[in-house]
Amino acid sequence: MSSSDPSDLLERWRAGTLDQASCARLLAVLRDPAYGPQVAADLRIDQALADVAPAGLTGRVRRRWLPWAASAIAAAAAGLALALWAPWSQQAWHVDGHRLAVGETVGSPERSMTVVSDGGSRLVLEAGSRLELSADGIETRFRLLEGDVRCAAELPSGGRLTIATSRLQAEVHGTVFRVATGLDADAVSVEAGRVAVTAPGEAAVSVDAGGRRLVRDGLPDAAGPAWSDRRPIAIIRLWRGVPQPTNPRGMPYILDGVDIFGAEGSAMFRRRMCAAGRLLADELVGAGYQGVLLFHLEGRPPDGVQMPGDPSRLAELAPEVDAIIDDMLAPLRARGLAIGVVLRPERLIRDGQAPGGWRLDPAVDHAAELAVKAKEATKRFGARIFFVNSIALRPDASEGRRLSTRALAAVTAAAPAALVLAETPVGPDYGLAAGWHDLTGPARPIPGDLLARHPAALRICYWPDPQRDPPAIDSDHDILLREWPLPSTEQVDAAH
Amino acid sequence: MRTDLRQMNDHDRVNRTFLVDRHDLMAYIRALCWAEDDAEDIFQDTWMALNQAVGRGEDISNVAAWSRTVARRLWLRGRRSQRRERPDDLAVAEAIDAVFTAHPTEPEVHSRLVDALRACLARAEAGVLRLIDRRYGEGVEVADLAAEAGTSVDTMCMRLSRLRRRLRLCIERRLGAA
Repeated sequence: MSSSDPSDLLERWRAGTLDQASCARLLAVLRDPAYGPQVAADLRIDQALADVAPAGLTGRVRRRWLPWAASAIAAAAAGLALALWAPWSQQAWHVDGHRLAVGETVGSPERSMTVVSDGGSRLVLEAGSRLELSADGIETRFRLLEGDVRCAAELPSGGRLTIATSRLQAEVHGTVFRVATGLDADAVSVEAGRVAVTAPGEAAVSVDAGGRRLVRDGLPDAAGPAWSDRRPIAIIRLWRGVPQPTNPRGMPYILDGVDIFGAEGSAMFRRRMCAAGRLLADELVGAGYQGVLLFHLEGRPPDGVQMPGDPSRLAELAPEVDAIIDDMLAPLRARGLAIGVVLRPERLIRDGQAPGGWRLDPAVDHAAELAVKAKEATKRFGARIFFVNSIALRPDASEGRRLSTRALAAVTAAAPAALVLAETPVGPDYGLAAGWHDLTGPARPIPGDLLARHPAALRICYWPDPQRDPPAIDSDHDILLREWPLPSTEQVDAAH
Repeated sequence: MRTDLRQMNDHDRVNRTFLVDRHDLMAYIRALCWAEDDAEDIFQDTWMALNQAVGRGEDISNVAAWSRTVARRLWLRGRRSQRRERPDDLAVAEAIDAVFTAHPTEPEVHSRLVDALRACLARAEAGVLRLIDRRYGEGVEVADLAAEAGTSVDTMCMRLSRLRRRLRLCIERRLGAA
């Protein structure tokens, strides 16, 4: 087998075993028109194999959504009724081979579960969710007690399937949709077909494919963040070097082999970081920036923790940074630049079993945790910008649970004069916080309905390239957030 | 009312096109990421994003290319969040995208391909079928297959690519003969 075989190279690239030279060869092969037909054919055969191979025992249920959805859409478009596979009144619901009784609750904190009906309807419960069968027969009712359920329903004429939460109920008209119940809001997202959604005191609303209906608790419909400055903000990344035993968090300006904790290393680090602070203040004020957002304040994070997001524990996480950061930031503050830090909703705890000796504890009150961190950062750094990592951990510690709007509100309550930046905002978040938007992706202005509800809605538009100019942004609703490199070692030494 | 009707028609048109091209999109996603749950998540999120974009009135003329771009971005975002990003990720993903752009397929080709594949597999030996079942049916990672077989990951990759080549030649013969 030649090592220029695109199929082999691609397989190894996907497995993560391709070295740099082979990767360059893979790119060359992929870009070579002579190999194009073979590569396209192999990739399509890969997919065809996945379609025809026998199903395994676990984790294979989701594949079945799509063929169903395709037929549902095709049938709806043609004005046809969907097939009736079993008399609806006799339908039973099963999970893992067990027939569900009315009043029974299903769900697992560790794994997703699939509830199926005789007629082919399927409800997929995410891990950590709980679903109760309230009534079966011609009018089947489920109650989502917690979490997230996705539904693909096969409904005969006259049959009804309702999924209710404490705030809303979604009635199926033969479709693929999702119901999620959160800390402060419930949502129905419709992928195909149509769903009728009702909330107490409100008329039923029909939600079509691609639409979403959110019903939430009484958080005020705020206009948007009270932040009038539209000048850009710079991202400063403090972790730059390669971690070494003498510089375990890879902080910049430390020469290889020099111990950052020793007398020479700590003096060198302080001298250069403080000079960097002065240079940055000059550069950013000169360029018309309003502030900085410090990423990796704690340097290289412990293995398995992307960003600790807890500036209040800097002394514990990065004592070498803790010793100099106030002096480094002083010139920035003195020049009127706002200081920003990253906050995580979870708490970092020591765990000898975790890869880096630390792990994030998902079982904390996000709102309380964020409020404490925001207050501490305000007190110590005079922080006025908070980037909130809003992909919270699920109870099983996997990522993917959206941070509640209530938790964001806790940050704004703890630091009323600050600009809060939500990493993955949903509608109501825009009343409190600015939303993250990546300028390297498709242009997506703030939707009109969102602006109608939050006229002062704001986006922080991230641009990774310090050299190239970013695309134009909306001067009313956007703030540019741009990578800004630390000054070089030569520059800081010259400045000193 | 007219706007609503046009949007519904757009939804219908875009969804139909998306579904017709879905095998190619899934093939593209699978080229980037093998884990079935991740691939399915990317696929479904792409579909959601597509419907949301149409709902916002975005004009999407090339649904397949648009979907691959969104899928690529979702995959890259996932790699970043898992801290598994590699310097060449974007370049490889874009190069594969370009292959699909340069070699589009007709809607009915997938079903003919599957039929031919089934016929080829009917003559395959038990060991090959077992390997396909483990890799494609149960979604076992190459590293785990290699460990099971007592061989290296690269050797297992080579075995899989040889298998794919044999199947490709068999499929081409059958499609050519049809």
